[in-house]
Amino acid sequence: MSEKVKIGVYVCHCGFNIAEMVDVKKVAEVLGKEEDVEVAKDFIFMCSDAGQKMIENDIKEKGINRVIVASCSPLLHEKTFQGVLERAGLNKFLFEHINIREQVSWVSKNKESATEKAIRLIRGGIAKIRKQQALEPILKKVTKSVAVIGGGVAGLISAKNLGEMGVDVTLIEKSPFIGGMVARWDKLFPNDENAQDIVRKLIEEVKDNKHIRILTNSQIVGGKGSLGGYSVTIETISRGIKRLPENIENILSSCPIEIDSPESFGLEKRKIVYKPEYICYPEEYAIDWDNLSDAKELEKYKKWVKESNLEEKFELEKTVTKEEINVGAIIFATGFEPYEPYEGEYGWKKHPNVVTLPQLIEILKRVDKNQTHFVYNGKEIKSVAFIHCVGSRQIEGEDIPGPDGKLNTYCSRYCCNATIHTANELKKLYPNLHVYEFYRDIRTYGLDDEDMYTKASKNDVIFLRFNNEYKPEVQILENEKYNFVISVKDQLSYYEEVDIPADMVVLSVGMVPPQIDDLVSIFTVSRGNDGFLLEAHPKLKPVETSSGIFLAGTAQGPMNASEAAAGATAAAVKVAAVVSKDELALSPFIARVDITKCDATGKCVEVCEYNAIEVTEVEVEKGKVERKAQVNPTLCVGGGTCVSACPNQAIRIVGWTNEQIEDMITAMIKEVKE
Amino acid sequence: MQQNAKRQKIKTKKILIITTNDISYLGADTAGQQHLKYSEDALIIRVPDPVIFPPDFYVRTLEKGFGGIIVASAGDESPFLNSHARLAKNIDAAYKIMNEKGIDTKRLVLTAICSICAGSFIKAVNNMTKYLDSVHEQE
Ligand SMILES: Cc1cc2nc3c(=O)[nH]c(=O)nc-3n(C[C@H](O)[C@H](O)[C@H](O)COP(=O)(O)OP(=O)(O)OC[C@H]3O[C@@H](n4cnc5c(N)ncnc54)[C@H](O)[C@@H]3O)c2cc1C
Ligand code: SF4
Ligand code: SF4
Repeated sequence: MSEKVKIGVYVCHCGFNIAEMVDVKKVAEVLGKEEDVEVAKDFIFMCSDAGQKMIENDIKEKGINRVIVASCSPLLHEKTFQGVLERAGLNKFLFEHINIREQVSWVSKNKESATEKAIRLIRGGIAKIRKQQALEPILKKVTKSVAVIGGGVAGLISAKNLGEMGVDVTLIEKSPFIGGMVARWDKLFPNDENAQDIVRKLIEEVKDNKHIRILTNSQIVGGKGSLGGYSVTIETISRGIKRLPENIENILSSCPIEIDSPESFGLEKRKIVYKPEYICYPEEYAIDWDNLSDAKELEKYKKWVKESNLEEKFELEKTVTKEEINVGAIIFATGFEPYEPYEGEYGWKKHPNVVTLPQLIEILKRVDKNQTHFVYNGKEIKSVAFIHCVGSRQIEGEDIPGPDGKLNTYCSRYCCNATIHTANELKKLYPNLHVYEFYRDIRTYGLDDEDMYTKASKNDVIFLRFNNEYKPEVQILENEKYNFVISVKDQLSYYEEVDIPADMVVLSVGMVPPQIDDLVSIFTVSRGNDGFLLEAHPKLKPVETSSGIFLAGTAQGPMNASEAAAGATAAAVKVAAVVSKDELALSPFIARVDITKCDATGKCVEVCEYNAIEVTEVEVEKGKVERKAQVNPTLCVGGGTCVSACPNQAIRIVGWTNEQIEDMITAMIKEVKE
Repeated sequence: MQQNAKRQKIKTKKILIITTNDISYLGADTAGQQHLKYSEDALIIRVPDPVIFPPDFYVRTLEKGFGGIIVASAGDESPFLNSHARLAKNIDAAYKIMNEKGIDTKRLVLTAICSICAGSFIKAVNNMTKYLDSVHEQE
């Protein structure tokens, strides 16, 4: 026989915070008369030791077996009071928290109505808790290793932190080299740190750690499982070099296949067998199979290998190997890509001296630092104009959507800093160069960032402010002293139209999410409107997603390298907390099927985005097997899409059943009598 | 779609606001932290996601005596994949039943409230309060 329900209701004053607007004594008095309520008490500070002790004693001495605390928000103290239940030996899920501060006393003007509202809400809680059952977290055995996807700074830092804690990590990088974007930069804002040194240090630490296994040219192509235990299929493509020829540079000079080098952001050509000039790992040549996907190009390559007698050295075709690994947690550190302007956007692709900021950084790496003049494409550059917010903060009706039909409405956050930093670098190298920045807002928000802006102003960098509606217009000049004239209605001089001559236009392009649709669908990770991966909650559950995947760095949105490092460290610490346990206690609030109602229509299977339900043979009674829907408790996230989809009302979220909520609603609307 | 149904006098001005545990409940809390005032008739409950409710649930709730319902979904912030789109379908189906039963569809509103959207939360409550004031029948 089930035990008699004995509810304890505890109404908090929160000093005056609640008591000033809610007649807490009356609330306790009225609710003390409700069915099943054994005690109803008010207290000045329920979360104080004395308040907690009072509840604990009532559970132990009066046999209270359901507890309601009406106080501040559950976000503040739900765990505190669940702890009281646990200490008193009662299942912590036999607790209901009613918010009469943030959602009653602080938002009400009339004490009488506020008191009535509090009574109604607590009544709802009583109705709900009456049907509440003791619940146990779902226990899952944890696999004590981790997969980190992406070998940029974020992935490297996550892997390094985990490796240092003794956790086995597989670092999976899709390109042939780890290092990510930072490996391509020179000096980093705000303090001119050497990007190459930073990445080199990280690479050293990661490759020397015996707990870290680095897989390059590798991608995850399949996976199943959930937090605590995944099995992941990795596909690795061969580097293509069997034995490196000694005179490789000479040999490559005869290679007929050249492409615009992605490593230089298209500024230079490179051969199909290559190694970046910047810091990377492994420091070994690789064949760029991606750019040999065209059959004709592949034939051309094979012909060259054969004719040059290189078959002993280079593979003719890539070999693909697959392996399956088991991990307890996965970190996405898949980074970002720079925005690609559309043809004609501020003169892009219409003139070689319209370059992007990543390209300018690349150009400056190559200039002869002893020269006093800035020379590019054989001509002295006397004036450089940067245009901010290219591909960021786009506005409907004013900007052209990208190929996916979407506008990038977000701020890319790094580019004001990177632009101003680069402008200062230009002024340092070439004090006589004229430098202009066309900006919408200056967002130099971080520590030391504002100093760069001040320095730029002192360096005579000229700032002109535009409104997105009146974007600067880049006009290309033929056979004139300057290559361009840029016209803008400058907000800083009361929208006066200003014409600026320039030899180079630099587009400060934003960050866009990389193409990772496959990964996202394998692991059912949510994405925000901006296309970047979405945290479950920015304040309460940062760097983790609702599906149990962790996020590091710019995979979750634009950020600078320090922020990416901070996010990566946070993700590593959270993941370490998971894999350090033998078992994981998962939320018990998941879907449960009532097999007596289920007729195996499978509607629930159709709507579940997490593949957590399947229709399968179930023993309904001894010796009798029928097809019924079954929930995989480790995959279910408890969102409840299946609940309303079931035509037979056979699925409920445990702890939040529709019947409990209907009871709440009935109780809340009931007349309030004293 | 929400359609114009006959204007119908209602008995109470009580509003049921259904929020989500992870997102819109926090939006309502934010309004509280800012001490923004709204009608004491607005009663908030929280659930993992309102997508758990079948369309007839809303009709039943109105029939129980609530004047209006605001479904404060997490919208695009929802941690649950595609839940908002499915919720919107359920609400549309609820509107259909309401139309058939001659219940004014203005009494059920679906809105997205983020975890810090105090302003949108207050606006949704005030709009419903204003509407219910205009159709409420004193007993
Ligand atoms: C022009 C420019 C200048 C900048 N200058 C500075 C600066 O001076 N200071 C500063 O602090 N920040 C700067 N930044 C920002 C900095 O580059 C980023 O914050 C940093 O690169 C983020 O690192 P990440 O690891 O998150 O991403 P990334 O560097 O993009 O690395 C992601 C890695 O994941 C890999 N990957 C992607 N998809 C997959 C997949 N499916 N499977 C496996 N691997 C995958 C990629 O190949 C890449 O190696 C600048 C950015 C730009 C664009
Ligand atoms: S439990 Fe919450 S409402 Fe009560 S005193 Fe503590 S903070 Fe205030
Ligand atoms: S950081 Fe600056 S340049 Fe970049 S999008 Fe934001 S406002 Fe524009």
